[in-house]
This record gives sequence, C-alpha cells and structure tokens, in this order.
Amino acid sequence: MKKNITSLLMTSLIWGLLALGSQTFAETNKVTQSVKEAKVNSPVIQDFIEGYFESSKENVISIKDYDGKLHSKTFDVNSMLIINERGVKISDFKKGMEVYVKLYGEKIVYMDSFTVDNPGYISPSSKQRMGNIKKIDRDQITISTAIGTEETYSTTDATLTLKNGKNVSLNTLYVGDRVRLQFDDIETNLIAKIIIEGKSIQIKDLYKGKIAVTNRMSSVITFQDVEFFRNGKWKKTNTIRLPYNATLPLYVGGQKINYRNIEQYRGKTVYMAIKDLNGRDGAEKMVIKNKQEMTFSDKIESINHFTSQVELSNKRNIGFHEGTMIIKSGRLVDSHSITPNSSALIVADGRGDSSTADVIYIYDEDVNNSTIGMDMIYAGRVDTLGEYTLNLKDFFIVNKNEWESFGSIKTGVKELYYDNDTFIYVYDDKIDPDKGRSLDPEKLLNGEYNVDEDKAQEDYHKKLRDYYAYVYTDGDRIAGIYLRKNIDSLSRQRIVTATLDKNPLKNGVEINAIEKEEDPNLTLDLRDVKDWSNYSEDWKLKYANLNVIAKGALIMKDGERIKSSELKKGDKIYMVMDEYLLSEQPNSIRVMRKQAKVIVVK
Amino acid sequence: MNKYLTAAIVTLSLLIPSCSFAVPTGFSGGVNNEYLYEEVVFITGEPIKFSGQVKITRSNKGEKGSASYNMTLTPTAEYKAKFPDAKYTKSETYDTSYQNHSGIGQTTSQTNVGKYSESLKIGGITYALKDYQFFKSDAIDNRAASDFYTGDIIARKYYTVLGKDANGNLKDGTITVDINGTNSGYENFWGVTETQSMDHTIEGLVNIIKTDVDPVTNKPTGTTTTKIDKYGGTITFKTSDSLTKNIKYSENDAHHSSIEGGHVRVTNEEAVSKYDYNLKNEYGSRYTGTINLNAQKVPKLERLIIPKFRDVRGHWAEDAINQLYSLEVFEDSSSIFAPNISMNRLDFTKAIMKSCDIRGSEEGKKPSKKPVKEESLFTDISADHKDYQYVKSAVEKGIIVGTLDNMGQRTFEPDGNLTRAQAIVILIRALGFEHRAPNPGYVTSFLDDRDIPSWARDSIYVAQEIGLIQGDEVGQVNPNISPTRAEGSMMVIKFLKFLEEDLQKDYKDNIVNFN
Repeated sequence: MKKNITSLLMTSLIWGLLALGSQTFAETNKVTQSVKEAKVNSPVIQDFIEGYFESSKENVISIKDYDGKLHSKTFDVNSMLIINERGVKISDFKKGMEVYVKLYGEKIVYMDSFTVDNPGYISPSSKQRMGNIKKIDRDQITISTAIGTEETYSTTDATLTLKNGKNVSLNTLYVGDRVRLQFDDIETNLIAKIIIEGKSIQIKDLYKGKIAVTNRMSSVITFQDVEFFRNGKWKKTNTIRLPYNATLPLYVGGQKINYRNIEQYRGKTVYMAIKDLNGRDGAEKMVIKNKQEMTFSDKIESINHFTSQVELSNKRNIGFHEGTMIIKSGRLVDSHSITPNSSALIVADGRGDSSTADVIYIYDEDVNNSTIGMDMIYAGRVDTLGEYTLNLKDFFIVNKNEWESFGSIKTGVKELYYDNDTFIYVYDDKIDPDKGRSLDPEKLLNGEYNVDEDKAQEDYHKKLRDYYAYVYTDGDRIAGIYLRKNIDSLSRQRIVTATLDKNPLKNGVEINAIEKEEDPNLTLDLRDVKDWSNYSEDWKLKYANLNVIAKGALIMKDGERIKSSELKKGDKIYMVMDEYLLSEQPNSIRVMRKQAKVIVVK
Repeated sequence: MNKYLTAAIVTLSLLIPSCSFAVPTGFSGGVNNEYLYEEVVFITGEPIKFSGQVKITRSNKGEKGSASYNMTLTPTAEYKAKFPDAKYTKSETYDTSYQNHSGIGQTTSQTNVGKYSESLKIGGITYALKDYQFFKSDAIDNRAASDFYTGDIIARKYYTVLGKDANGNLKDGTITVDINGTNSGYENFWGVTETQSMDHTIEGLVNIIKTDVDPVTNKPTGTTTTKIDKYGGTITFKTSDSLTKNIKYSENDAHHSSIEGGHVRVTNEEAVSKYDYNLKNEYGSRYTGTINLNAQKVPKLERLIIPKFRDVRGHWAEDAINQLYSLEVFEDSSSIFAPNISMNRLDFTKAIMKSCDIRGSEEGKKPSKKPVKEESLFTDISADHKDYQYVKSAVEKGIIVGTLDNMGQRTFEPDGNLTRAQAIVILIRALGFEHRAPNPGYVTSFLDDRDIPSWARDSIYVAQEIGLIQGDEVGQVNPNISPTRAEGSMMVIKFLKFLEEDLQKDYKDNIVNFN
C-alpha cells in the first residue's frame, strides 16, 4: 500500500523539486519549462528514508526508520512536504506518522505521508446528479441535465426511491420527472437513491392568452383574452397575471427569442403550460403563436426526427421544434417521448397545409408508468384458494387498455399470491349484495369464496358458487382484491383516463374529510376524459365532464388501496368503468349508469 | 405605506454572520410579505388557514440576537364560512446567543424561547398555550463567498382546551404538540435563504361533557362524558424564506442617447411553505392533504453603471463582461477591455474578491489605504498598490497562498497569466467547498486528469460536481491553459450565478419540492 501510494506521488516529487511550495499560483507554463530543464540537469537523489516522523525543530526533521535508527536531516522552504497528496506545512506532521523521505545529500527535498484509510471514498449519497428523466428502460435510467448532456445510470434492488418524503416503488417514475440521483461511490453508475420531485412537476393546465403587460424585473406577465383547455375545447377565463420560468427557451414561429425581447410581443397570443411554482400558478413553458391556429385530435402515425415532423393518421404532416411544448402524463417531455400510434392533441401554428406544432399533448396512459412497472389488473373467477395463494380461472387482463381473455379451458388458470398486507374487500352480505366489508387476509381461507372440487356435490347443495374478483397485482403479488358473487359483463366495460374536477361528491356536495368507512354514495366528477376506442385503438377525447359512481371500485394509489373519499381534486386516474342501463323508479325510466370498477391514481 | 403595515425589522449591528433576515417567520410554517401573514393552524385536528398582520422585530448585537413575532389572525375567505368568528393571536420571542470560533472560521448558536402567548378561539372553545419549550442550535461555517449553516430544532407546546361547542357540550382537555426539525441556510451578498423542515405531532385528549335533559320536564338530570383519546395526527412542513439578487438588462427606449441601456440589480424575496398533513379531529373526521402558501415582496431595484467598452459589442461574452463592469467587479476607465488577451492573476483575484466582498456594504467598498505603513505579504506587489488590499484579503481568507521563489521569498506574480486550474481553485476555496472532494487517491472524470496539478484536483472535482465547470467537447478540463479575459469573465459570471441562483434552488426548491 505504502509503495503504491509512493509511486502515485512521484509526479508530485517533480513538483516538489520545482514548484516551490505547490501553491495556488504555481505557474504552469513555468513549471512545464522547468520540468524539461530538470530532465537535462537532473539532480541526483542520493537516498531515501522510510520510517516514522519523530519531530521537527527549526530546520531539522527527525525520522526513525523501520530499524529504529534515528535520522536528523535538514529542510528548507524548497522542501516539498506532502500529506495525502496535498502540500502542507511542517506543523501538520505528527509524531508517529509513517513517512517517505527523499534526500539530496543531507537535505530533505521531499517528504510525504498518507493518513487516509479509504482512498477516493465519499460519504454515502454525497455524489449527486440532477436532471429530467428522458428515458426509462427497465433498470436503465437516462436523464438530461441542466447543461444539456444525457447520462445513463442503473438501478438495483437496493436503490432507494423517495417521493414526497416517502419510500415509494420505482414504478412511480415517469419520463419527464425531475429527479436527484445519489451515488455512494464516485465511479459507480449504480444509483443508491432516487429522489423524485413531487406534484410540483406536473403541468396543471394548458392556457392561452394575449400578452398585455410584461414585467421583466419580476418575471411576470399579465395576459388578457385568456382561455384554458378543458374537455377538448378552449374555455374563456379572467385576465391573469403569471410568473414565468425564464430558464426554458421561448420560441415564436420556430425561432428562439430572448426573454429580454418579450415586451415586443405585446398583443400576441401565447400558449402556456401552467404548473405550481412554489405555491402559485406559473407559466413553466411558453410558445408565442405566430400565424393561425389549427387544432387536431388524432393519432400520430409516425415521427421523423430528421425532418422534425409528425404524420397524423389523416396523413397530415406537422413540424415541431425545440420550443414545441410536448406534454405527456402531465409532464413536459422532449420529442423522443413521442412514439408512433400515440393519441395526441396538437395545437398547430401555420397557414394552409404548412404548420408547426406549438403544443403536442399526448394522451397515452397505461396501468404502468414505464417499463419498470409490472402492475396488472385482472378480472376472473376464484378457482382455488390456498395458504397465501389464489388461483384465478377464466380470467381477463387489462392489456393495451382493453380486457383481454386468457380464459381457455386448459391454460386459463393464473396463480397469484397474497399476503398479510394484501387488501381484501368482499361483497358477501346475504341481504344486501351491495354491502361490502374488508376481510383480514388470514380469514380468506375460512370463507366460502370458491367451490371445493372435492366437495362439489356438498357445496352445490349449500348453493355455493365461485366468487368473482377484480384483482390489482404487482407482478403476481396481489396488492388489492375485490370479491363479489356475480361477475360484471366485461364486454361493456371501458378504459378511461381523466382528472378529478372536484373532490368526491356526496349528494352533489364536495367532501373534505375522509370517511371512516367506504361510503357507497360518493360520485366522481371527472374532466378531460379520454376514452379508449377498441375499434380505432386510440384515445378519444370527451367534450364534457363525466360523472361516475365510485361505489364498489377497487382504488389503488402508489400500490396501495385507498377509499374513494381519499381521492382528491386534481388526481389523474386510469379507470376501468362499467356502463349499463338501469331502470329507475318510479317511472322505470332507463338511464345510463357509469360505475367505476378499478381506479389507478396516477 | 399602509397604516396597518406593521412588519418592522430592526437591524442592529451585524457582527455575527447569518443574521440577514430572509428567514422564515417563526417556526409554524407561516409566510408573509410586506403586508400580510398567512399560516395554517392544525390544533383543532383539521387545517384552518389564517391570515392577518404580523409585527416582526429582529435584532443582533454582538453575541446576542433576538426575534419576536406578534400577530392577530382570522380565517381566510375559504375557511371563514366554517369558522366565522375564529381568532388566533400569537406572540413569541426567541433569544439567540452566538459563540464565535474564529480559529476555524465557524460560529455556533443556541436559541431559546423567551416570552410567549398563544390563543385560538373558535366559537365558544378556547385553545390556550400554557407552556412552550423550544431549543434550536446552529453551526455556521463562515466562508469567504458565503456563510453556510445548518441546525436542529426541538420543541413542545402544551395547550388547554376549554369551552362549549356548537351543540352546547362542554369541552375540556389538553393538547400536546411535539415539534422537531432541521434548518439549512446560507447567506451571501447575492442571496439569503433559510429552509426549515419540521414535523409536528399533535396529541389531543378531550372530554366532551353532554348535559342530559329530562325529556318531560326539560330539566338537566346529569351529564354524560365522552372521552376522546389521542386525536390529532402529524403535520410535516417545509418553509423557506429566500432573498436573491439578479442582474437584468433594461433597454433605453430613447434612440438619441449616449447610452443604449443598462443593468439593474433586482432583489426578490419570496417565502414559500408546503404543509402535508394527516389528522383526525375529535369527532373522528380524518383530513389528509397538502396546502401550499406563497408570499412575495415587491422587488427592489438598483440601477448599475453603464459600460461603454468599444471592443466587446457582438463578442460572445459581451453580456458577461458588461454585467461585471456594471457591478464594478471590473474597474476600468478605458473604453478598451481586450477580451481575447489572457486574464492575469491580479485581475481575476480582485474580481472574485469584489464579487464576494460586495456581501457587506462596508466591506464592499474599495479598501481604504491604511494610514500606517504596511508591509506587503509578497515581494512583487507592494502594500501601496491600489489593489493590494484585495490580494491581502484573499490570503487572509485562505483563497490564495502565492508561490515561493528560489530565494524562499513569497511572490504573487500579479501580472502572470492565470491558469484554469488556478481560477477553479480560487472559486472553490472562496466557497469553502474544497473538503467536499473525495478522500485523496481518486481521479476525476476529465480525460486530461493526469495534467491536473495535485493541489487543484479537489477543487476541479468539486467544481464539476456543483456545475461550475464542465469539460470541453472532448471531455478535457485543460487545467494548464490560460483563460482569456472573456473566458475569465464567464467564470466569474458562473460563480455569481451559483451564488445567486444555484444555491437558492438547492436550499429552497430542492428541499421543498423534492421532500
């Protein structure tokens, strides 16, 4: 160890001979020149001593070698004194320190010591990288940093993920999220800790308005003729005064402009992505409209990054540029997050058939936020129950936003696992089939939720039947399961994504407190609803709010089940929804009812 | 000025660092601007946002400091309907003592609560503070460019609950609020930020005493007591008060003028707070959620002198050079800046010292000549040199050391060309970040790592980590190349940006938004 360190320090020796103190202003050019001279007139280093530092007095240093012999040698201001590869004063040497000394005659020209146990060590998590997630490929995470570089790091099973101060699953990560990655070693690319920015990263709304007053000193703009995008339409609202983030580029007609010149665009229409800037609404990114507005809600057939164009399913080509606001999963992302077959709303700027996108709002959502997640939604019949196992048969899985059957007679059994942390809710009330209760997982086996093959005859006479289940799993582990006697018709169910326009409603009034028990009377008022079309295989924008019944829905948030009263205004959801006609008394008028079955809070 | 404007700040001598007053108002997550104070109160078991006027008095004198907050608040509009006659009054004084450890450039402090009173009245119920224990201690690292500090807070409040609720039932009980948290902050000329991360745990024990009435005679027959044990919950909040100064350019609208436009130093102060709560009130209703508060003060403006260099217009570093001239970091009565010649060591040292030393107005002025003849620390710059005091100050603050010539004389080589390694070492030493480097025995990620002088390795590593420098297009740091005056200017501007913005993001946004 000592020898290795010594050889590492040989370069420093040259500095020791020539740089005269190795201080801040050691003139490099001069040193380089001196090194050349040194090679020509190289002084002969006559000897060296290895041992322990004893003492120093005036211009004499005493060293005891490994044989116990004491050496007293002179030193002066030209002697290079090094500890841990850094120049030090003689007073920094302490008795007993192991030293390596080079002599020129009787004079010490160089003396070093090493007191560090762990070379190159940093405190855990003290190396940090910040950036926005650009790509997630299972355990590979690519971030784009503030200086525009892209860096790829890896996660491991030991990677700790934190969001809002809580330990969460890595599956919560989205492309576009802002993260702090922390490392335990300076050379590793294995992430020790990922800290994800909370809700403040999310784009709350899309606004447009005309610049009325700019205040560059406060970085605030007052907009008039303001409209916000709601349910697929621009909706008028009041004049607003918004702070803006001047660190993101500002574009007009594909040309980047300086915020210093924003005053010159007074009267122009600006599209704005609104987010929470430290507790107040602010414009995170803006694009100034140049020509005429065109809006398309369509599927993107293809994307060409070389020509910076997307082609819609109607064969229309629309350009994009660095300033185009691209929003996906409520986050600003770059153009590489646009994938073919994405459903999108495009606000284009142009004339005739030539247009450039100012805004590309991608609707795509899935149960999982990225390829990291293995979450699944099942529906099926309880076949067998074992100790911490549940076999589901005739089952369906939500795949690409529709129920897909895996119910073949031979292979249609899926073994899933539950544990003491699994949330189980059953509707087994003999009088009121809509009355549910939570069930301790340990009691699942004691219930009569499936027909025992060995006692089929007996169970038949007891009128037992297999229960049906909606199951939310993380891989094969059941996180939440709702059991009921009857199965719903899955063919009439749809997948929608939406945002809660209000807190859940009870008799039409918003609730603010969480109910003690699951309340069967809550409804959800949803906006910006996108409905998956099995026919065209894209998301269809709905142009009005949607009201759904929350009763009986399995609601999952961050991998855990929550009550419907725990949903909040602004929550973005992915929902399996049932639609059916119901005769309502007293006139037996048949009305369409929409009832949530499974909700995943995104 | 509004007659109700009661925020008053008394500033006495600033002998002890960390006494700038961009600090959160109290320890309850409240925010305020010049006019209004807002705070969310949770002791009832559900959030109620209050607002009103606050009187703030802060002082620091020698090794003693104090801060007092007096406020009278009522529910904000959104809570007014539910709590129409609620009133919240609070008065707190905190006393701080400082211990200066000048040998290592650090200060420690202890803060205790002095006087206090607090009362919340909602309907017929009064929540009154009966006892308040509070302890806070900080360690302050006094570096050349900035002071950095961090501390811990622990406290407990005892309240009594007494009165009749809306149903005429008597409520009688106690509430304990356990408080613990940390604070982090920095202070330099360009910005001051303090962020508190606090956890409050509320435990309430209340008896609800209902008077039983005979249904026939309508006379009281006795009482029924319902004991509500341990209602309450937890509140976590991050509160940050931050002041930062930015340089902005302002155009001259007039065309026929000797000046085109100029820079303005804009001082913004913002307080933000984010409460995350999970509570149950005495009637069993559970409340969870997040409440954000934000208060901004009106920016202060200072117009700066206008540069008139004739050889920087259109140069890639024009804005940086002009900003530094406007800030008087560069002093030059000439109209020639010569951006493409090498930056010398004296100019760069002086620029950094001026950038740092602007921090205290009395320090920021050009050092006056000493009446007593002074002996120079270096043989090649005299104590009479007009810029000697900057060099001396840099030595005293451990930013530069100088070199020793063959005769053992200490030299500074003021006119020598600066190298990038030297420049980076100066920046990092000014920040006091050198020790954030790994233990010796590592290499940096730069391709030309072997060219990095050993004395510059730590600084170069840290500078890259905090984003002050990055490699060139082939990943080299070029430590031994002399930067031009334009490149040197950009380094100083990046350094100032770090003090103005990057520190603020790290201490405010990264704590409030990520945790």
